[in-house]
Order: sequence, then C-alpha cells, then structure tokens
Amino acid sequence: MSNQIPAPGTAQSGAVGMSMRPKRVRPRIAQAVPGIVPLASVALFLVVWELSSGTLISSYFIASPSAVWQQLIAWAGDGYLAKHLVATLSGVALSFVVASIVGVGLAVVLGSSRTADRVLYPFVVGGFTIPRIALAPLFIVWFGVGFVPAVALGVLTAFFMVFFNAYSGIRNTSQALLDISQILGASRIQRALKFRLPASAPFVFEGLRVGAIYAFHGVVVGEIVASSTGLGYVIIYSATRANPAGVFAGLVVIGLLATVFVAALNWAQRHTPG
Amino acid sequence: MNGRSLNASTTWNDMQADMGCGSKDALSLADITKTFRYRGEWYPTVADTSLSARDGEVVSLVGPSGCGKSTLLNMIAGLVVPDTGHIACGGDVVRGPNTRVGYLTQDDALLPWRTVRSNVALPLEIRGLPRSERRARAMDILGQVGLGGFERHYPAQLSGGMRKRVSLARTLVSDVRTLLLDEPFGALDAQTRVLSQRLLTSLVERMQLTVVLVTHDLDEAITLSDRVVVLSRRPARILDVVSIPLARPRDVTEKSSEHMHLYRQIWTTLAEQLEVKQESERDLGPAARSEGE
Amino acid sequence: MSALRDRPGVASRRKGGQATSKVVTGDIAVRLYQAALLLAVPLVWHLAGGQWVSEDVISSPAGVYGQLVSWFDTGEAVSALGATLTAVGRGLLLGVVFGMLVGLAVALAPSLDQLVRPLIAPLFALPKTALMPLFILWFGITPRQRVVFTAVVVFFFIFYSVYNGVKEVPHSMDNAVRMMGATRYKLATSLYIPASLGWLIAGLRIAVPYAFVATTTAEIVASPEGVGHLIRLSGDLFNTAGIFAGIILVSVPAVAAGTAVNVIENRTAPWRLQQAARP
Repeated sequence: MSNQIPAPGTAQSGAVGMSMRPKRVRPRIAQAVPGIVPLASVALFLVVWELSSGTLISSYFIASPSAVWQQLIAWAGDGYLAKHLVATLSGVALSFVVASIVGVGLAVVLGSSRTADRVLYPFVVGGFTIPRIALAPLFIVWFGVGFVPAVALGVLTAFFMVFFNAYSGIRNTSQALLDISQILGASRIQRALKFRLPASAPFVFEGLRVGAIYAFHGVVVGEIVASSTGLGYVIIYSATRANPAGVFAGLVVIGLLATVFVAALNWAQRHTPG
Repeated sequence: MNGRSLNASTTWNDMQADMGCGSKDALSLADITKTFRYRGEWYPTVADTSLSARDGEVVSLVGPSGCGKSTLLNMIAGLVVPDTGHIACGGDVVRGPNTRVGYLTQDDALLPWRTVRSNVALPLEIRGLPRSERRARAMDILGQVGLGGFERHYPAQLSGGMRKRVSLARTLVSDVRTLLLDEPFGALDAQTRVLSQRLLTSLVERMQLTVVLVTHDLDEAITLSDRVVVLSRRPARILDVVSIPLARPRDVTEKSSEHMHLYRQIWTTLAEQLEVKQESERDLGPAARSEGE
Repeated sequence: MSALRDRPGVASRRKGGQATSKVVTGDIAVRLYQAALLLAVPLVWHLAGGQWVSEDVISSPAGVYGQLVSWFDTGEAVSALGATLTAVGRGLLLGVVFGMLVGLAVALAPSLDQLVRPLIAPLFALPKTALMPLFILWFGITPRQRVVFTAVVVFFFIFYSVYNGVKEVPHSMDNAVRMMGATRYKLATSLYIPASLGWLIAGLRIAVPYAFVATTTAEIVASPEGVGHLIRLSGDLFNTAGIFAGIILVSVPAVAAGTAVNVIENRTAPWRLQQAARP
C-alpha cells in the first residue's frame, strides 16, 4: 500500500476516506514540510504541560518538563541512571535469549509431533491464561527480591509470544514441502529442523520481534514488583518517595527506550531475509 | 462544496424527476485533464479527453493497464475532481459523489455484516425511505437479478458471481439510469462471467440503461457495447471510437464474423499502445502499475 | 501496538493438516496421556514436597487445597474476589467506553488524528505497568487507582481495535456508500461504526483477560484488598500454598470471562462464522 500511488478514487479524499471533498489548505501546509504536524503537536503539548504544571495542576501530580529534565541530569551525573539502565537492558537481553530458545524449541517439538502437540498444547494454553504477574511473589520466595525475579517474569512474558508465533508457522508448513521431505527420505528430526523450521522463518522472526518487546515489558513489570534495580524499580521507588519528577523521568526513559526498541526491531525485521 | 449540498439535499422526488436525463446526452465529459501527484512527482493520468454517452447507450473504454480508465470513471462518479474540464450527467454538472449513477467495481464492496436484503436496501435507507418500501423494492430487484430466496444470506455465504449480482441489485435499486462498470467481472471465473454478462445485457436492454464499461476483455467490450472507445497509454487520450453495429438482443456466447472483424480492428489499435508501453514502463514509475491490477 | 497483532488466540491450528502416512495417535490415547499428566503433576508435586525440595518452597497440592478451603471458610476468598471483580468490571467499563469514543473520534477525524497520534504512539510502546507508580502518586493506594490503571490498560486495546476497524474499511466500501449520497453522519453510522464493532469484540477478547492481569498487578504492587493482595501477603509470609491458591482463585474467573467473550463473539457476528466455514 505504502509504495503505491494512491488509488485513483482515493487520492484526494484523504487517508480516512471520510472527507467528502478534498481539503484544500491543511494538506498543502502539511505536505510542504513533512513531519511538521506531529512536531508541532508534540511541541504544543510540551509547552502546555510546562505552563500548566504548578499553575493549573499541582506539580505534585504532573511534574513540569523542566523538573523532569533536571531530575534526568542529576541521575545522569551521579551514575544512578546508568546503573539501572544497565540492569534493565541486561535483564531484557537475558530473558529474551532464554525465552527464544525455549519458545522456538517447544514450538518445533509440538509442531512436529502430532501426539506431543495434542497432549501438551492445551497445557501451554492453560499456562498462558494464568496472570504471570501473580507468579512474582513466588519468584521472590524462591530467588529473593532482585534481578532474577525480574528476568523470570521477562522470560515468562516473552516465551508465549515466541512460542505461539513459531508454533503457528511450523504447523502451517506447506504439505507439498513435507511431501518432498518424505520423498527425500528425511528423518523426523531432519524434517523438523531442515524443513519445518526454515519454512516458518517469517513467523519465527515475527515471534522474536514481539517476544523482545514483551521481554522488555515483563522485565520492567518484574522490576516494579520484585526488584531493587532497574528502571521499573526507579519509578516505583520515586513514587513511594512522593517524587513526581522522578516518576516522570523514569517513564520518559522507559518510553524512549521502548520507542527506540520497537523501531530497531521493525528495522531488523525488514532487513531480515525471508 | 456546492456539490455536497446538491447531492445531500436532493430529495427523492427531485431525484426521480431528474433521473430521466432528458437531454440527448445522458453523460458528457468535456476537455478533462487529471494529474496525480505522488512523492513529489506529477503523473499526468488523463489528458484532454472529451466523451459522451447518449441515453440508453453502452460505451466501453478499453486501453492498456493503468492508462487512466478507472480515473475517468472515478471522475464521472464524482469521487475524483478533474483538474480542468467539466462533467455533466443528465445536464447537471457533477460535483461531489454522483448519486444518479450506479458504480460497480471489481470489488463487490458489500457490507459483510448486513444480509443480502439489507445490503440492497442500504441506498434507500440512506435516502430515508420507510422500511416497508425499502424491503419491497429490495425484494423486487433481487428477484430481477435472480437472487430471490437468498435475501437472508450474508455476503460471505454466497459465491463470487452471486455477490456480484447483489452488488448490481444494490446499484439498480435506487432507480439509477446510468451505470459505471469498472472491470465488473474481472475477478470471476469464465463460466460465471458469461452468466453475469448475459444478465447484464438483458437488464441493460430491458431497462434502457446508459452504461460506461471499463474492461480489458475486448470480447466483452464488443458484445456489450454500442461504441468502444480505445484509449492510449497514460495519460489517457482517445485514439479511436469504434461503433458496434451488432443487432440487439445479443447473445454473449455468440461470436459472429463481424464480431471477429471488430475485434481485430480494435486489437490493432490497442496493440501498438501495448508495445510502446513496455518500452517506457520504467519511466512511468509506480503509477503504471497502480491502476487496473 | 504489536501486542495486538499477535494474539495467541489467532495462532490457527490447522486440524487434519498433517495427513502424513504415520499412524496418528487416537483420541482416546491422547485423553489418556493428558489425564496421566494431570494426575502426575500433582502426584510428583506432592511427593517432591518435603522429600527433595522443602515444602516451604513449592508447597503441596494438599496445602493449596487446604488454603483455598480455609479462605472460603473465613470469607476472605469471597471478599477478595469481590474487590478484584469490582475493580475489573469498573475498569473494563471505563476503558471500553473511552477506548471506543476516542478510537472512533480519532479515526474519523483526520485532523484530530494528526494531532493526537504523535502523543499516543509513545504511550503504546510503553509497558503500561510502568504507569502504575504514577497512579499511586495521583490517587494513592485506593480502589480508584486500581480501577484507573485497569481502565488505561483496557483503553489501549480497545482504542487500537476500534481505530484499526475504521482504518481497515476498504475504500471500495467507502466509495460505494458515498455514491449512495450518504452524509458524513450516515457514512459513520452505516459503515464505519458497524465495521469497527467487529473489531471491538476482537479487542475485548484480549482486553478482558488483560483487565484481570491489570487489576491483579495493581493489587500485588499495593493494595489492602483483592486476590492480588492475598497473593502478595502470602508471598510476604513465605506461604507458597497461599500464592498458588491465589493464582487459582483469580485464574478461574479470568478464564471464564475470556470464554464468555469468545461465545459472545461467535453469537454476535454470524457473518464471520459463515466466512470461517467457507473453504
């Protein structure tokens, strides 16, 4: 869609197709400087935020952008930010790797063995319906408050995304390809690893992409509930210390990280063969 | 802006009064030009085209893929505004969505959550007709397209050919006298296409409809039309207008020697365009492939 | 955003897609395996507790059962479930209403869309749980804070579904209805709103289980009531049986509500079912 000229019937009526007549003025300005509308929107938002904080709304509820900025500078200066950033990033990396290996592995097994699939699949779905956050207190009992429960939660959150995507790809391997694999005399394991898995690569990559995002979410949640390091912990700690600038600063860092993360993963997916 | 008020405020009685298209031309296009802009580049799509259709006439537009045929139809339908020139339907200038023509494309555009009857009655619902009249007229027109008994089905339960007929019924239910057809049967299999063509010819002949048909299928163009307009590659210009003097009523499966002769005549004009097009496809850019599929 | 693109529920299982020559295990055998597994897990769990692993760490099936019974006896289970379900229900209601209204408004008004989208996009990427400390700051540790948090989580799912529903309407349909002379209002009521309702229900399918997760999360982080509070409390007291019992307690209504949405979806969208049935 995006790399085509707009279809003739739609070219003038706007993306939504709601405007009955072509809008004359606004699109022209918007077209002249690409990105001006979003930029203006964000700028306006920041200005209104800055002006209203402390005047319209108590700065206890909404810290002003300048206060957030000062908080960020202070954290950056004493290494506080770096320490917790590293904790979060390494937690995400670790939980992503573990979730990917287990998720793809289980998907290959269930996708290749009909018996294993029919026996185990309902249990996986059942496991998925359990609120994973509820396991956090259990992880605290097992591992103590800290890095490990956060990673465990990240693994659990990411695992299902990786698994379900890879599984649906492997299950839908074309019958023609499987027939060929039989003609070539591939063993069951060869069939799984050399035919089903490569054939489902786009699904697996999509699962990994989503899994990475979920690992990030899971780790941050884990840090809020069950850790003493990481950005999630920074936010909840600031909240309990009634420090709105800290909460907002933490949110900004997490938001930026998430945005960059999503953009990077989308980029990686576009540049992956298959 | 005027166009909206013209169409939106026109009452049903006004519509019927106007629908007769009393003047000799049911449709007329004069000196139409249209250029699209895409990623900073301008793509001239229609150049200086004039065209008209008499009341009850069937006119086909044939031309290379992406030559701007669909854009022409979109302009008659009032969905795209021409840069220059003007379009009149039944003597009135077209501004905004043209409610006095029916427009049928390859996509049947039925609303999946409405039953067949409810889909067909939608134009009447939008005009605010009472429920009982909507139903009666929808049932009547469904009978005419041979879909009596399917009124409670959902579009997804029907075959492609049947959905096409529902779409046709939805167009005809508002008593339009002019039909715009953009590759209407392109997505159908060969047998279903013949049946659909047969239904269309009989409806057109019986209801004295004015039709503008865009098609890639020269046989279809010849069988259905009174005139075939051959367009150049983009930007579309009229190269030739071929009259089809075949007697009506016509049989869509019959291909007389006269039919074959006309086919060769149109094909010769068209073929030159296709050859030139291949050479210059590169510099036509994405627009060349955007239209007509 | 991508959370929605890959709902596990979508992972289609193609029945009978594997017509290979190998002998397919019969239904009865599969049921037997599953029954064996269902029995074996608690059995191993039971045997392991105190034998290889301390029962403090993994508890035991009997311990979990005992905990559930005692919670029901004291009425704690009922009051905790009541608090949780109330928060889930209110959060869902708020989130769905606002998600629908904002989703429709933004999708149907291009100028509003351009204004709001750059502000909403980063919020989509943000893990919603990270917002909870903010709500604690704003509302304190109150039922309102849990309801608002739940509503926000639900809002994003519903907003996205409804917005998508509008955006995914094919242009051919838009053109067809406009050619009937529809006004903007008629176009919205006869085309865009019904089109997005199907997506709304699809959104509910994810939003409902996540509402339970959200409320439970809020209760685990900070709450004096609710099932999440019971779980947290049990954790603080190293009562693993309590943790498992709490998980079971909250999972049952969550699964039931999720199933209910699926049933509703099948009932309210007959055209979809038919579509699925076609080859």
